[in-house]
Amino acid sequence: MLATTGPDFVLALGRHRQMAAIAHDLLDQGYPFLMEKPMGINAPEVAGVAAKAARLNAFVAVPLAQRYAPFAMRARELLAAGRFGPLSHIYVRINRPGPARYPAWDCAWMLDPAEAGGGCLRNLGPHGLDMFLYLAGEEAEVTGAQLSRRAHERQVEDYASVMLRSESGILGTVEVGNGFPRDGTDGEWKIAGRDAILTMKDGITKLATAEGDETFPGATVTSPYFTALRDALDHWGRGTAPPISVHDCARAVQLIDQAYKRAS
Amino acid sequence: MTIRVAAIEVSHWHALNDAAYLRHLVAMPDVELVAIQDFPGSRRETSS
Repeated sequence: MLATTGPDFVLALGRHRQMAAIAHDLLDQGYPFLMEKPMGINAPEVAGVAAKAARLNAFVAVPLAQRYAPFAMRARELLAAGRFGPLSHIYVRINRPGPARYPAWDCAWMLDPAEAGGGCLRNLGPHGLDMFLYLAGEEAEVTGAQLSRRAHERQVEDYASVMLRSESGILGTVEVGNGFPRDGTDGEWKIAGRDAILTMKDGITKLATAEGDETFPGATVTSPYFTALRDALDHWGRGTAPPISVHDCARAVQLIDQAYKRAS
Repeated sequence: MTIRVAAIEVSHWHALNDAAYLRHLVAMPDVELVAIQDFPGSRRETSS
């Protein structure tokens, strides 16, 4: 199909089990592409794609769209301005609707560990763990993790909590789940330093300082996924590296594998 | 310049739900979605 149509750019989705092989095929054929996370069912698979992409100097973008969400953008602005002082910890909670949505979308494979590489930690974990790395600005390791299948009794976990520590000692807690009882997200984001704490919950972003609380306007009307896609295409069009790449995904997936190992 | 984009393995729910990448792509005036594909035996494969 690609040889027939000769596209400029490829959007690659697919079952998690297929993703690394698809990525290798696209790299071998020389197509620039954007691939959905997690790009594989384990860290070695994604690392293999990242290594080939680096060797070929290929354009491989990953839409870790939380980076374009209001919390992350505000947090980065405040970090750049030095408003937090020394960072203490970062917290991310992303609890999305329950696993029944996957069969309803003809994606029951998401409930099969062999096809999906895990449950909510494999699928949603990249968002939370990338956010920790993105805001901490340095490498990290998993110090503890727990998984649960208790609520929905599927083969894959429907809740995971992961504890992290960055190289300089910034602590993180990332919770992901498939447990929200309707369409929507039970989400919460925090970044805390000596001088300020930025939080976002229920659409309200708030900065707490010694002077009091400052509340920021609500979410933008543009979907972070639209922005992620647009930004990747714009970077490709300018001939520059992806704004968020397979290398970012590989770092997050490495933490996911560490978390599964810690929880086992 | 029009960017000719192909989408592969589109039975993934993010093609049309949640992230809804295909909906975003077709909303971009400088993007032409020239082909969509899914693995053999699945319900859709077409190109334009």
